[in-house]
Amino acid sequence: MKGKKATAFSTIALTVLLTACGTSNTTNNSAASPSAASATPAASASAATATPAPAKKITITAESFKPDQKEKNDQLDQRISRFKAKNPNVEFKKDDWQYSPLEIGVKMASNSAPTEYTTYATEGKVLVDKKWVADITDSMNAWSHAQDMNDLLSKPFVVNGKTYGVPIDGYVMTITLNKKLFAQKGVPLPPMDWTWDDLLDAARKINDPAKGIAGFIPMGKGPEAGWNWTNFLYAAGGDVQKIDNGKVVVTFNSDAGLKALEFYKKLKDENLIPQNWALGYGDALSAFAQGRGAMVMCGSGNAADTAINEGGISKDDLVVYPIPSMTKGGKHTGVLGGNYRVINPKADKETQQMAFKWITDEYFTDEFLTSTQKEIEDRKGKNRVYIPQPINYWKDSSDFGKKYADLLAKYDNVFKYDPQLLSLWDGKPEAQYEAQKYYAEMANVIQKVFTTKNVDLKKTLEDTSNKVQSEVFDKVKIE
Amino acid sequence: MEDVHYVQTAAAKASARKKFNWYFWGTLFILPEIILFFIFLWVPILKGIFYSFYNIDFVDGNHFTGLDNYISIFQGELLLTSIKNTLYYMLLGVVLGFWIPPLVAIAVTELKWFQGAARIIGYLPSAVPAIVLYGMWMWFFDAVGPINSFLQTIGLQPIEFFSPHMSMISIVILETWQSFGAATLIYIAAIVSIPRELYEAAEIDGASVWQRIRHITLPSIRTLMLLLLLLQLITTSQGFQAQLSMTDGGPNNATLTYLLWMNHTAFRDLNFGKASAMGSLMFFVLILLSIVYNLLQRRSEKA
Repeated sequence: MKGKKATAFSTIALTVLLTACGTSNTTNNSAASPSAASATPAASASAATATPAPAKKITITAESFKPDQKEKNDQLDQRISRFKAKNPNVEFKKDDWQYSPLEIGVKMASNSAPTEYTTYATEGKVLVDKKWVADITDSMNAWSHAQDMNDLLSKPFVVNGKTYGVPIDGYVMTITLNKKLFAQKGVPLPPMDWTWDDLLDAARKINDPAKGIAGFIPMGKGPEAGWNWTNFLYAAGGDVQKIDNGKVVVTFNSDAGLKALEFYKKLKDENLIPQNWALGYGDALSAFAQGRGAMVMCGSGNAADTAINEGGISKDDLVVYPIPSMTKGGKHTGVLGGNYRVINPKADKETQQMAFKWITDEYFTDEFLTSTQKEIEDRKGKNRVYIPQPINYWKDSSDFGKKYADLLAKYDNVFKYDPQLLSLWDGKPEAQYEAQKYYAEMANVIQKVFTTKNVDLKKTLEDTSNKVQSEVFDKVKIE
Repeated sequence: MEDVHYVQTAAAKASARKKFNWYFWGTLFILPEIILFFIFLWVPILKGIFYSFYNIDFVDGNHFTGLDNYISIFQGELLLTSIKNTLYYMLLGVVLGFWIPPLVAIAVTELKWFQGAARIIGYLPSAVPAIVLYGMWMWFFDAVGPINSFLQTIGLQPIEFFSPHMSMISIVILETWQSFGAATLIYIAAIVSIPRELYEAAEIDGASVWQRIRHITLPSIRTLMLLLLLLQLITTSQGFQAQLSMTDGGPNNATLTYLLWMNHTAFRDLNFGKASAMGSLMFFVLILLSIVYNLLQRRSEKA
C-alpha cells in the first residue's frame, strides 16, 4: 500500500514538474516569438502617427568592463551620458560579462545575456545558426554610415544576405616573430614576402630543444589547432567546404589539404615545434611571451599584446608577418577574424533598434577618436603599449581612416605594423557551416601528426573528411 | 469494560499524537534539506531526463525528438572510445593512486617524531587551487622541466608525458599528487582510533613493524579501504577536469573521458539535448551500479 502511495505521489510530482517545465518554455516562446516582436513596432508606429505620445521607456543592458578597468568604465559612463542626452527615454544597466563560447549557451538559457555584447568572427555562424543574435539588417540599411563600413570586415556576420553584427575591428591571421631570438642566433629575418620553406629554414636555425626553444609554435590543443592549420590550407589554395546542389561538401581533403598536412609533419619530424603538443591559444601565446619559441601564429596583434604587455618583450623586438605563401609569388592567405557587436534577440524589437543606435552612435565621430586617445594615454601612464588592430570598421583610405592614422602616429607607445604586411596579406572568412566542429575534428588529425610516427597523411585526411561529411556537413540544412 | 476500552482508545490516541509530533518535528527539521535537494538536485536530474528527448532551442522553443539524441550517442564512434578511456582512467587511478594514501598514513602513524608536520606536508597539495596545479604540472611535465632534466642528468631518456600512451598516466599522476593528502588524513584518523593495547600486546609478543601492520592495522582499516575504493571509482568514473585543462581530450581522443565528451557536446557543440541524454545514461548506469553494490553488501552482511 505504502509502495502504491509513493508511486502515486511520485507520478503526480513528476507530472507537476514536467508541466512546470513546459509552461516556462511556452512563456519564453511567446516572449521571443518573431510575430509577437514584430507586432510591437507596428502598434507603436500607428500610435505615433495619431498623437505625438512621449517616447516609450527603453532599458538597454550595455556591455561594460571589469571593475579593475576603471578608465574604460569611466569612458563608458561618459558615453552613456552623451547618449542619454540625445535619447532621454533610454535607461542603462551595465553588465561586465565578457563573451565566452562556453557561457553563451547558459546565458541564453537563463535569459541573462546583456542587450548588446562583443563577440568575435569565429562565433558568427554558430550564433546565427542558433538564432542567438538578432537580425539587424533593417537598422543597418537605414543607417547613414552603412556604405562607409569596411565590406571585408562585415562578411563574417552577413549570412544569407542578412546582417547580424556590427564590426569593430579585425585582422587576418599572421605569424609574429621574436626578432631578439633571431638576433641572438645570428639568423637574418626572412623576407616579409616569405614562403613555407623560408619559415622552415628560419625555424631550423633558431630551434634549440635542449633549452626548450622551439622554432615555431603551432597550437595543438582544442579547436584552435584546426583553426591554426586552416591558414596553411588557405595559403595552399584550399578551402574547407563548398556548396554543391544545395549541400555542404568537404573540400579540405584536397591536394592543398594534403600539402598543408605534410608541412605540419615536416615541422614535427624535424622537431621544430614544442615537444608538448598540448598548447591551446593561451598556452601558445604564453610560451611565445616567455621566449620559448621564435614564431607563433594568431590574430595580428594578439601575440604582440601578450608578449609586450605581459611577457615584458620590447615592442621593437617583435614583427608581424603574413602567413607564408606555399611557393614564391603565391598568396599569403589567412583566416579573417575580428570583433563584432551583436544584439540579443530576446530583447523586443524597439530595444533592438535602440541598441543598434547605441552601438553605432559614435561610429565615425570625433568622440570615438577621443576615447581611443584616452586609452592610449592611459596605457602610456601605466607603461603599457597600445596594440591597434590593423583592420577597422572604416576604410583606411577614408578621411576618418586618415584621422585615426594621424592620432596613432602621435604616440610612441603604439605598436606599428610593417606597411608591407598590409599589402601582402589576404584575408579569407572562415567556413560558413559548422566551422567549429570541423576545427575540432582537424585538431585530432593534427594531434595524431604531432604525436605519432609514420602517419598515413592521405588516409587520415580522407577518413576525417568522410567523418566530417557524414556526421556534420550532411546534417546541415541550407536555407 | 467500557472504561478499559476508553483507556485503550485514549492511550492509542496519545501514542498516535506522540508519533505525529515526532514525525512532524522531524520532517520540519529536514524540510530545508528536502527543499534544497529538490531545487538543486532532483529538479535538475528530472529536467535533464526530460530534455534528453528534446532538441533544445532557447529562442524558438524546444522540439520533441524522441530517441534521436540517444540514437546519435550510440551511432558515433566516440561512445566506445570515451568508455574505454574512462575505464582505463579508473583502472590507472586504482593501480597508481589507490594504495598511496594508506601507505603514507601507515608510514606517518609509525613516525615517532614530526608526525604533525608530516600530516600538514601531506595535506598541502590538496590546498593548491586547481588552476595553479595544472600550470605547475605543465612545467613538471615539460621537455626541459624538472622531471626530464633530472632524468637526463642521470643519463636516462626524457619522457614525452603527453604522448598517446603516456598522457592518461600523466594525468593520473598529477591527480594522485593532488588528492592523496585528503584520503591520507581519513586513513590516519582510522588508524589512530585502533586501540593502542593491540599494538602494545603485539610489541610485548615481539611482533615486528611489518607484522603489526599486516595483522592489526590493515585488518582494522579494511572496511574503510573498501569504502574509499568505491568512492574513488565513482569519482573517477566522472572525471574530466584535468583532462579538459591539460589535454582537452587529446592527443587524438586518447584522454577523452565520457564526461569530457559530454562537456564538449554541451559547451563546445552547444547540443544540450544530446548532452542531457548522455548525462541521463550516466545517471542510470550509476544507479544500476549502486543497486548492484547494495545487493552485494546485503549478501556479505548475511554471510
